[in-house]
Amino acid sequence: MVIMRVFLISASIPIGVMLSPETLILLGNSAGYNGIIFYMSVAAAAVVCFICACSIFYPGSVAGEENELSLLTRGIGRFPGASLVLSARLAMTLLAATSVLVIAGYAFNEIFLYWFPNFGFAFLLLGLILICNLLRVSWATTLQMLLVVFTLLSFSILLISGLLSAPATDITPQGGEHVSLAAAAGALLLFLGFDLIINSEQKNKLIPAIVAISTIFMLFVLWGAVSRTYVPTTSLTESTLPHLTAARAVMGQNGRLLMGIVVICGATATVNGLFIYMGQTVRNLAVHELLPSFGGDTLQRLAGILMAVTIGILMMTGLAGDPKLTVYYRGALLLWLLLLAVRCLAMACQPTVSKHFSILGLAAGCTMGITSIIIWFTAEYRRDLIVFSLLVYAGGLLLVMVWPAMVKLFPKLKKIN
Amino acid sequence: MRHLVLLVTLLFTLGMASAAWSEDLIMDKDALSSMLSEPDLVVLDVRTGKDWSSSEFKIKNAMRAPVGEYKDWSASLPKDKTLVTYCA
Repeated sequence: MVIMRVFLISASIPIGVMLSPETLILLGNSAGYNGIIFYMSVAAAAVVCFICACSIFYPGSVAGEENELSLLTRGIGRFPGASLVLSARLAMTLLAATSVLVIAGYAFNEIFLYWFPNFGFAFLLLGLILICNLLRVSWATTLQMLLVVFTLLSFSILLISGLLSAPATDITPQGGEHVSLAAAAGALLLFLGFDLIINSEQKNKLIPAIVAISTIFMLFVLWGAVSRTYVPTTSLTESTLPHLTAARAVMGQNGRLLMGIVVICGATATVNGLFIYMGQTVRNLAVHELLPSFGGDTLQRLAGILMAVTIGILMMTGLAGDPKLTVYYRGALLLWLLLLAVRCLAMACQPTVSKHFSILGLAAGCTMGITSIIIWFTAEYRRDLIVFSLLVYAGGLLLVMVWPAMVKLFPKLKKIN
Repeated sequence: MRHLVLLVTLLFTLGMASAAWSEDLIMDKDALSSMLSEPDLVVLDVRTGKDWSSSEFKIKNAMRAPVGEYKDWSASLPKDKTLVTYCA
C-alpha cells in the first residue's frame, strides 16, 4: 500500500504538469493544424521522450543513481549546468503558473460561477498551493494525487463519450491541414514534464516516468482523434480554447462542465507539481553549495513564498493580458527541452556508461536539441524568443554565482550551509 | 480636521460626478444583446493576451482592438456609428 502510494505520488507530478491547460491548447491546435501528421508526430515525440527517460532514469545507468546537477556538473561544468537547471525550471514555474492560473480563473468564472471574479479565483488557487507547500510536503503531494485523479476521471468520461457516440452534425469537409516540420517537432513540447520525478522511497524513477509518458500518449492521441471527429480542423487550429470547443461538441453543456474540471484541476496540478519540484531543485542547489541551505526545509519554504509573491505580482501587473506572455512561456518550454537534451548528452558522454546507453542518450539528446533550435529559429517571434531565453539563462547564471562568490568573500557565511 | 472634511467632500463629489457621467456611457449586456443586429453598431473587444484567448465568451463580429494599439485602430473607426468597447 505504501509502495503504491509512493509510486502514485511519483507519477502524479509529471502527469499533472503534462495535463496543463496550455498543453491542451497546443494539443488541440496541433490536431487541427498538422492533420494526419499529428498522430505520427505525437507517437515520435513519445518515443523520443521514452528514450530520454531510459537514458536519464535507467537504474543501471550512472545518471539514474545521481541527481541532474551532479550529472550536468560533470557534463558541462558546475555553473553552466546549475544555471540551465535553475533558469529552465524557475522560468517555467513562474510563467506557467501566471498563464494557467489565469486560464483556470476564466474557466471557473465562465463555466461555474459567473459572479465570481476570475482573478480572485486564480489568487485563491495560488494561495491554496502555497499553503499546502509551506505546511507539509506530504499535503502538497496528496493534493497533487487528488487533482490528477479528478483530471483523469473527467478527461476519461469525455473521451469515452466521444469515442462511443457519433457527432450530431457532419463536420466534413475538413481543411486547413499543413505539413510543417516545426509544427510536427512541437509535439515534443506536449510531453515536457515526464522528467519531474521527485526523490522518494520510489528508487526506480524510470517506471513512473514511463507510466506518465504512456498515459499521456494514450490520452492525447485519443483526444486528438475525438477532437478531429467532432470539430472541423480549421476551427481546432484557430480556436484559442480547442479543448473546450471539442468538449462542448462531444457532450454539450455537460462536456463544458467536465472540461472545466479538467482545466481547473489540471492548472492547479501543474502549478503544485512545479512548486514541489522546485523545492527539490533548490535543495539540490544548496547541497552543491550554490545556494544557502539554512537547515531543514527553510530554503524550500522561502523559495515557495518568493515564487508565489512573484507570480502574484506578475498577475497583478497584467502579464496575463500581455501578448508577450505566450512568447515568454514558449521560451521557458524551449529552455526546458534544451535542459533535457543536455542531460541526455551529458549522460551519453560519461566514460562509465555502456555503449548501448550512450547511443540512446545521443539520439534522444540530439533530437531534443535540434528540435529546440528549429523552434527557436523558425518561430514567428524568434527575435523576442531568443533574447528572452538568453536573458533568462544569464539571470540563472547570475543567481547561482552570487552565493559562492559571497562565501568566498565572507568565509563565515559557510556556516549557513 | 476641516481640511480632511473638505477633502472627503471633494472626493465624494468627484465620485458622484464620475458615476453620473459614466451612467450614460456604460451599457449592460442585455442592452448590448438587443442591439447586436443593428448595422450602426461596432463592438470593440479590447482584451489582449490571455485575457482574450482564455475567455470562451467572444461576441461574434466584434473587432479586436487591443488597448496598447489604440493609435492604430482608433483612426479607422467610423465616427457616425455607436461604438461599444468590452473587456470581460
